[in-house]
Amino acid sequence: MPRFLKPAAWFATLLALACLNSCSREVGQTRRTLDLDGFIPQYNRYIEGWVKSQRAATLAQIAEVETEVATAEGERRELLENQLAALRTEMEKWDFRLSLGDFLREGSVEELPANLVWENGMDQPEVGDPRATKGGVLRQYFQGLSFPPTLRPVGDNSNHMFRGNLYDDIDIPLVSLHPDTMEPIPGVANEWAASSDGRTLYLRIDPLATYSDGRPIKARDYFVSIYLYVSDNIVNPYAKQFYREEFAQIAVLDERTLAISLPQVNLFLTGLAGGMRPAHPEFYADYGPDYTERYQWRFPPTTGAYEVLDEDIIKGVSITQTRVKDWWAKDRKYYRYRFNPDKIVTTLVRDESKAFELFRAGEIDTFIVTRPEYWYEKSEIPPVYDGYIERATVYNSYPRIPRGFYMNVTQPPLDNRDVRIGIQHALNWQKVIDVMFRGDYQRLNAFNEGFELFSDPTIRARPFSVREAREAFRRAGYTQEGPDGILRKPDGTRLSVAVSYSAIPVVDRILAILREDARACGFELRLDGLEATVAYRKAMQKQHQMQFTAWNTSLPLPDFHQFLHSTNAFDAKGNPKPQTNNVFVWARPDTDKLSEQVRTAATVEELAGLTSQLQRIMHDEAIFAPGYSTPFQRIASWRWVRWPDSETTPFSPRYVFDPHEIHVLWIDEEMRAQTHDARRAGETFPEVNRVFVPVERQRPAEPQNPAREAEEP
Amino acid sequence: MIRLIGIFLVLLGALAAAGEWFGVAFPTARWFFAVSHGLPLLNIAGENGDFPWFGWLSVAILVSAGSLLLIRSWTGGPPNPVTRRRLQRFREIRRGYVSLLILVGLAGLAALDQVVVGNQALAVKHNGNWEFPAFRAKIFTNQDFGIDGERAEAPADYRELQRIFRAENNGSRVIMPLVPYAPTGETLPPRSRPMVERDGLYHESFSRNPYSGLVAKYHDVESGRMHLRYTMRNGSFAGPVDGWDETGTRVYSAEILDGEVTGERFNGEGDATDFLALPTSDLRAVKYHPAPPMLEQGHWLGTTSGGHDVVAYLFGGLQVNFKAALIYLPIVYLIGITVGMTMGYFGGWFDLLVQRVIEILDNMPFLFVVIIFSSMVPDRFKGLPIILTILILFGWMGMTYLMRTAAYRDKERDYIAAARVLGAGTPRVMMRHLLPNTVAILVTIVPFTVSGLIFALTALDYLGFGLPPEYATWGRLLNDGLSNLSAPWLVTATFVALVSTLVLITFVGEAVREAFDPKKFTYYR
Repeated sequence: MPRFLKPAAWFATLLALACLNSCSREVGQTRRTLDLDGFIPQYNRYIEGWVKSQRAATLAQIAEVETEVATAEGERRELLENQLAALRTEMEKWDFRLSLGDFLREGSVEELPANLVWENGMDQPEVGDPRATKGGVLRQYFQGLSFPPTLRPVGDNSNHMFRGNLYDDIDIPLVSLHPDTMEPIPGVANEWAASSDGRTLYLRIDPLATYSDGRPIKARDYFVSIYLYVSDNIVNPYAKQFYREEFAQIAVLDERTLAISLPQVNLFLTGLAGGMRPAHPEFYADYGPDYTERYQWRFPPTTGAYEVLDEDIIKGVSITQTRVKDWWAKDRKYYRYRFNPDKIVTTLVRDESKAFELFRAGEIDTFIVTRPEYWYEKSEIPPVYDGYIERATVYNSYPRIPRGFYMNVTQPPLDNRDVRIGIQHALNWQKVIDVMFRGDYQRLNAFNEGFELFSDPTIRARPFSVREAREAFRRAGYTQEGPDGILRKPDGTRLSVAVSYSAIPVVDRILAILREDARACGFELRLDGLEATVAYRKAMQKQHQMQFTAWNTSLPLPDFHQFLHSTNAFDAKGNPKPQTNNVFVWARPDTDKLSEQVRTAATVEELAGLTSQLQRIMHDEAIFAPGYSTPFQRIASWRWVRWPDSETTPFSPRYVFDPHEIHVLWIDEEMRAQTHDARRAGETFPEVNRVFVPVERQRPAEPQNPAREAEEP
Repeated sequence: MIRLIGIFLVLLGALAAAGEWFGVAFPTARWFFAVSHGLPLLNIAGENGDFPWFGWLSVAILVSAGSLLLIRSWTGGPPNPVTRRRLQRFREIRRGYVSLLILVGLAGLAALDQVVVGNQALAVKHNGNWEFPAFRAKIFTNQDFGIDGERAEAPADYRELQRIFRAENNGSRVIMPLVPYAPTGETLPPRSRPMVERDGLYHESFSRNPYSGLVAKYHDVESGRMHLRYTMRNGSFAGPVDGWDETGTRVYSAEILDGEVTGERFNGEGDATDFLALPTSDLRAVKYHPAPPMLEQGHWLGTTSGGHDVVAYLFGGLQVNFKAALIYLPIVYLIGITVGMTMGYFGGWFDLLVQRVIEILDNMPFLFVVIIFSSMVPDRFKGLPIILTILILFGWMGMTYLMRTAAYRDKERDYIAAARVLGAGTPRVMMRHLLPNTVAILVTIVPFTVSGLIFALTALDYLGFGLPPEYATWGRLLNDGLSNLSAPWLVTATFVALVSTLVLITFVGEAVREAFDPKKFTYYR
C-alpha cells in the first residue's frame, strides 16, 4: 500500500467501526414506549411559551395601531379602531389562556363547580329505522379508485379518501351532534355541562364505554390521542396548529371526568369541545420514532361499531370491516338502529365505469348516481326498470358550498359597485345548469346559503338579464360599444375582466357558456384557466381579478370573519395581504364589527340576525357572484339494501351529505336471495324512483334591528 | 392553371384588404384580419385603434405571390413537357382525380364560410330596407330590427327574429344560411320535440313505441325554460315531477306512483293549482344535449354535448383543417426544401451541423413539448397560430432527408457542372437548375403531409392539448362522441367525416405518386 494511502485506510476503518458501533447502539437504545408522562410537561412548556410569544406580538401590534389611529382620519380611522378592538379581544384571549395554567392538566373532581347543569341529550329524535335488522354484508368500492396508502389514523398519507369509512364516520366522539337537529347527543360521554362563562365544557365518560377490545375508555386516553397528533414523530402542521389554537386547556379531573376549555366563548362549545376521540394507550405501547412504518397496517381499537381485523386487510385488493361483537353502544338510543351490516367489504376497482358495471352486475350493492350522465343515461337500464335496482333522490340540508365568482374589489374595474352588479346580471348560470346539469342543479343565491337558521332565504341571486346588466354598466360609465361588441368608456377602457380558475374540462365548459352570454351584455369575460396550485396561489397573493372556486363550508356555523374582516384584507403598508382567505380584499368598518360579533354571539337568534345582515351586505355590494349548488344526492341501490323510512329518518338525516356516511342502511339477505331467484325466473318488481325532501325548519324570529331598516330606503 | 391560382390569390388579398377598409365581411377573406384583431401577438395597439400587422402582411404576401405567379405564367414560356405529361397521367388515374375534385369542392364549400353555416342572417328585410348582417363587420342588435324589451341591446338573434317576422307576416323577412347555427360560440338551450297521444299512451311523433324518458311543458320552448317536467315510462307518467316558475326557480315537486300524484310540495307564490294550470306549451319530449338528430329543428346530425349543432361543428372543423393545411404546407415546405437543399448542396460541416440539430429536434418528445407549451402560453394567446408553430417546428425535418439526398446526387450531375462552367452563381444553380429537377420527389409526399397534419390536429384535440374551445375541431368531437357512446350520432358523424377526408387525400396522394413515378419518364444512361 502506498504510503500516502495509509492514513486514509486508517480513517476508513475507524469510520466503519464507529458506524457499526453507533448503529448497534441505536438499535439497542431506541425506546419504543408511549412515555406520556414525559410528553405532558414538555408540551405544556411549549404551549406556554407559544402563548406568551403570541401575547407579546399582539401587544406590539396594539402599540403600532394605536400610534396610527392618532394620525388617521375618516373611514381609515374607523377601520383601525376596529382592528384595535379585535386585537384587544385577542389580548383578552391570551390572558385567559395564561390564567388557566398547564395546557394538559391533571386535576381532581373537587374542582367541579357546584352549580353545573348536567345534560344528557336524550330528548332528541331517534336516528334510523326500528325495522333495521343486523346482519348481512354490504359490498362497496373505494371511492378514490385507489387502495388506501395506510391504515394509521394519523401521520403521512392518513388523509386519504377511505379515512372517513375507517374512522371519521365510525369513531364515537365524546359528544356528537344529532344529524337531524344539530343538538348535542351523547357519545362516549353520557353527561356534560357548560361552565357559567361558556368557555369550559365538563364531560363524564359513560362507565360502560369500551374500546373494541373490551378495555374501558379512560379520561387520560384523550391525552394519548393529542400526543399522537402533535408528536414530532409525524409531520402534521395542521393538527399541531389546531390543538395549539382551538383549545385553551384539556384537564383530566378523574378517571372518567374531563374539562375542556376553549380560548373564546362559542355558541357551539359542546360540538367543538366534544369532538375529541380517544386513543388506546396499550395499543400504542410500541410507539416511537418509527411509528409511521410500524403502525402502517395496524388498525387501532375503536370506540365505534366497526373494526378491521388483521386477516381482512388484503393489500391492493380489499378491506373488510367487521361489526364489533357486543359493541357497548349497540342498545343505546341514537345508535341502536345504525351500523347494521355484519361486514362491509370494500374492494379496489381502478375505474369508475368498471365500478358501475360491477354494480350493474350486482357485485357492488350501492352506487352514487348524482351526476346527470349517471342518472339519465347509465342508470336507465333494465335492472332499474324491472325494480331490481331502486333509485332515490335525497335532498339534504347541508350548507350549500359557496361556488361562484369571488371578486377582488381592489382591482379595477371591480372597485366599482355598478360593474360588480352588472357582472352578476351578465352571468347566465341558468343556461349552465340547463345545458351542463340538465336543469337538476339549483342556482346558488348567496354566500353561506343553506345554513338553515343562519341564512337569509329572502336573498335571491340576481338573474341573467341583458338589460339590467347593460344598465348597470352604463351607470358605471361604460357608455359606448366597440366594434367587437364590448362596452367601453369614452376614454377607451374596455369592459373586460379575467376570471382565474383551475382548468379542468368541466369548468372550461361552464365558463365558455358564461362567456358567450356575457358578450351579449357587452362584457368580456376573459378565461384564465390555470393549473390548480397556480390558480390557488394567484388568489392567495390577491393577484386575481375574479376567482371561480368553491370554499369549504361546514356545520354548524357560517364563517364570515376570514372572508370579510379588514385584518385579513390589507397589510401594514396598505397592500392586499397575501395568504389570507379574504379573497375579496374587502375592508369596511361595519362588516368588521358584524363578523367579530358573529364569532362571539351568545344566542341563536342574535347569530341569525348578524349572519343575515352580513349576507345582505355581501349581496348588496355584489362581491360574490353565486353559481350553482347541488342540494341532493342521488343513490341507486339493489333492492336488498334497505334504507330507513321512519318518522324520524326518511331515508337519511337532513344534515348528512352522503347517506352512506351515517350508516343507517341495512341488508336484507332474504331479499337478496329472493331477488336473485326473481332475476333467474324473469319476474319483475315495480320500478322504484323516490324523492325525499326534508321538512323545512323554522328560522327563529329575527331581532328587530334599526340599523338594517335604515339601510333600506 | 398557374394563372388561375395567381388570380385567386390576388383576389383573396384584395378582398381581405377591401373588407377591412370598408367593414365588409367577405367569406374566408375576412379571416386574416379577424385573426389579427383577435390575437394580441398579431396586432399592434396604437393611440387611435389597433394596427393589425398580420392582416396587412398576409394581404401583401397574397397579392405579391399572386402577381408573381401571374407574371410568370406569361413570361415563363411553355410549360415543361415532362410536367405536362405527368399532369396528363394524373388526370388519367380516375380515382385520384375524382378525389381531388371532391376535395377542391369541399374546400370551395368551406370557403363559402358564413354563407353555408352560421347564426348571422344572410339578409334581413325590415321596414322595406334590406340589410346583410352576415357580410358586415358591424354587430347588429335586436333593437336595430325593432325588437324591444329585455334583450333589446343584445346582439340580434336572427333565428328568433325569423320566427317573429314569420308570425307578424308583414313583409319583413330573414334569410338564414343553409345551417342556421354557429359552429362554436353559441350554446343552444336544451332541445325538445313534440309528442302525440295514441290510445292513452304518449309517443314521440315519429315513433311507434311508447315513449320512455323525460317530458316537459315549457314556459318558452325555444329558450328551453320549463314549467313542469315529468318522467315517463312506456308512454305514461311515472316518477318524480319538478316545476319551475318563470324565473327558473324550482318551486314545485311531486312524485307519480301508479298514476297517482303524491308528495306534492309547492313553495312558490300563490297556489299550487294556479301554478299547475299556467298556460304553457304542449307536452314535449325533452332532449338534453347531446340531442339526437331532429330534422324539424334543423339538426340533421343532432347536437354535441356542449350544445352545438353537429353539422355546423363538423363544418367548422373542416374549415380549421383546410386553413391549417394552407398555412402549414407552404411554410413547412419552404423550410424543409431550403434546409435540405443547402445541406445537400454545400455538404461538409454545414451538413453535419444541421443534421445534428435535426437529430436533437427529432428526439424531443413532441407530445411533451405540446403539453408544456399549452400550459405555459397564457390563455389569450392560444389558438391556431401557436399550435401550427409547434407543428411546423417539428414538421419540417422529414423532408430534409429526401431533399438532401436528391441535392447530393444531382449536384454531381453533368447539367450542374455545365451550369457552373457557364458561370452561374450558387443561388442561380440552386434555384434554376437544382430545385426544378429535384422537387418532383417532394410533390408526391404533399398529400400525405396534409393527412398527417389533420391527424395530428385531431389527436392533439382529442387529448385536450389542441386548439381552444372557440375552434370547432374534429378531435374534440371525437372525444365527446367516445365519452358519450349512448349518443352514437356524434361518434359516427365524426368518424365518417374524418375517415372519408383522410381516404380522399390518400387517394390523391397515391395518384400523384404514380403520376410522378420517375421510372416512367426518365432514362438513365
